[in-house]
Amino acid sequence: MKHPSDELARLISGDLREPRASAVRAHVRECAHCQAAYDRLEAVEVRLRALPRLAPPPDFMLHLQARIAQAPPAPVRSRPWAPLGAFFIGVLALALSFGDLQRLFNAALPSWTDLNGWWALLQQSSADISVTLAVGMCALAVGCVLLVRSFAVTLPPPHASNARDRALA
Amino acid sequence: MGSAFGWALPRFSTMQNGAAQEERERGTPSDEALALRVQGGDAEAFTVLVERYQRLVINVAYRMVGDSDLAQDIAQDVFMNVYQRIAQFDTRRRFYSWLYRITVNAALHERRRPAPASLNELPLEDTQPQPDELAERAEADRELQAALQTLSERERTVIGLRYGADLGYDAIAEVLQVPLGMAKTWLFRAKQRLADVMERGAA
Repeated sequence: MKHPSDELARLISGDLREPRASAVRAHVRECAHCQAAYDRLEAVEVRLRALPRLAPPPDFMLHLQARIAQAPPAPVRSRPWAPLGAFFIGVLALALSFGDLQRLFNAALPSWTDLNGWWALLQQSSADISVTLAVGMCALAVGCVLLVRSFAVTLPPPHASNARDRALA
Repeated sequence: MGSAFGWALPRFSTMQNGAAQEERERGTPSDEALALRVQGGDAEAFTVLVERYQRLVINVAYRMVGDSDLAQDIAQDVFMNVYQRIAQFDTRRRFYSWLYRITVNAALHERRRPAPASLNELPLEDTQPQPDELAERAEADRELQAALQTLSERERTVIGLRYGADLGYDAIAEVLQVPLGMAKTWLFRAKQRLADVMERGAA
């Protein structure tokens, strides 16, 4: 067996799985080189784990809330390229289907109370709408939704509903 | 020490995704659910996230910069950063991974600035030993912290995540966005370097 140097640390920390752990243990018992390496690493492991764990100071949260209150977060645009890209695709598709649009806008509109007329117009429009025009309209709709969402993500200061912070104030 | 080796090996518990994971498994809201609520403006959810992770973030930073006051300042900056950038967090991903990445970057950034090293006055979680033990232990800790500060950034980072936040190898790899094998190698080399430095210091 080659010296399993890189597995010694995992053996010490209990991260080496059986049956490999047993095999490495057996090797270390018989190999002075690996025994010495094991002892060195074990000493390091013990000291690293003995390093004190710091507890956060009691006013950690209050201090953080005070800082946040002084610097409210700016609105974040999660993916500014997404609405722009959707708009670009939409405009391109609409431009390519200019003829379809002309036909749609040239159609005579029925009166507001003529439901049958509106139904007939809808059917006729559906037949006239090309795939390109449909893609363009969908892309524009997606672009609008993404744009609204990207501006809608703003957060109130987190201390606003916190009782401890109100007490501090 | 060699003769004591065998089945009486010290068996440290295998660390998985840290103390925060255990807390999640006890039925409390997941980090990601809380982050989603913070994105919707829920201030209490942010408080819960801070309280869940403040100790871990401070201890990761402490192991990386070797100064507890500075570690506390870094933790403040980290949570400030989290709050300001929470809208960018993808709640389909793990929150702790995002949080520790911010922590590591903040600690590395701070560490590049010259700062006086000192062991300081933040409260310790352990029970306080007797004065002579305390002095002995403080000296040992000071030596270890000095040795840690001689490691490379990468080595200090894996040590900080492993022993400050109790992360397992897989979680360290996830935080650092490297393959699992690379995380294992970095940690092994960090410990070897630490052993070399400490031996040279003792000689």
